Amino acid sequence: MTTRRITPQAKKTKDLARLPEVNPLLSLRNDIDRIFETFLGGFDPGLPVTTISMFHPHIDVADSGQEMKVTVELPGMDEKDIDVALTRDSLTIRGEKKEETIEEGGSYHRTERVYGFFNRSIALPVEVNVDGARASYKKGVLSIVIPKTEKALKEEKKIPVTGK
Amino acid sequence: MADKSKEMQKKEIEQTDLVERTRATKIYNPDVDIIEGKDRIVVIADMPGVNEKSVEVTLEDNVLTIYGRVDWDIPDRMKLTHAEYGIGDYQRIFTISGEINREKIQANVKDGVLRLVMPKNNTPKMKRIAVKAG
Repeated sequence: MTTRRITPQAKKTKDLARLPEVNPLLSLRNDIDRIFETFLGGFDPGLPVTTISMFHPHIDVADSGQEMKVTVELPGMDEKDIDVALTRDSLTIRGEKKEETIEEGGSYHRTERVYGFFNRSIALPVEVNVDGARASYKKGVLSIVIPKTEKALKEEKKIPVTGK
Repeated sequence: MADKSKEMQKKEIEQTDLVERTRATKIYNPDVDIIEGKDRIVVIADMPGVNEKSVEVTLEDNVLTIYGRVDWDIPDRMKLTHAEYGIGDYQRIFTISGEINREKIQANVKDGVLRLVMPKNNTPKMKRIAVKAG
């Protein structure tokens, strides 16, 4: 499993400068192309595919006071395909669940399982110790244990609720 | 792309009249893919939290049952503060046709995914009967 910081990938942007168009027919054709492009919601194959989330894996968070345990249901993944990135106040999990290779001449009767890329970030409620975190992937469940920083533990203060 | 994303919500089984259960947990329907090939049918079920020791596959008459036990793995000292998936067992029941060679069904579990390979009987479906004159 790779645990690393993710730097935001630069999106490829289209060149917005228009070339001078001489031929009126060509210019009309370009206009029509542009209409189709916007109509299709700016579908751009140059976009890094990892930014598209095909599904949202479900996350549970448990807390012991000293540390937090985040578990994610990710059945059928290769641990190499899971990326866990942690900052002091957020956790990002992303990866790709690969589709089954179907044998030749085969056909699907049911497809309920989900595949594709996922990218999920959660905000952590307290400051955490990034270096002390451990992640493991077992039985299709990813678990990440994250200790809180001493500062965060000190700052936590119980407020007594008093009756009248 | 938001409309393309599929919700992974687990489906809880509502009918409980099939068997009296001794475990006080929820039961979920695992998501399955069923792929039919030339000489076999493959059933793939997503059952996160299950390994080869906690899964049971039974075949009774034509009824194939998949059952997976999931144990609560949150230590006692921890409190669940945010929950999106329910912890519970998995169960799903299929009826299989006579086309399947029941002696040769294979099952294996890896990374919370159960894979059942059910070879088909290779007896020809159609038999030609010679017509004799006379």
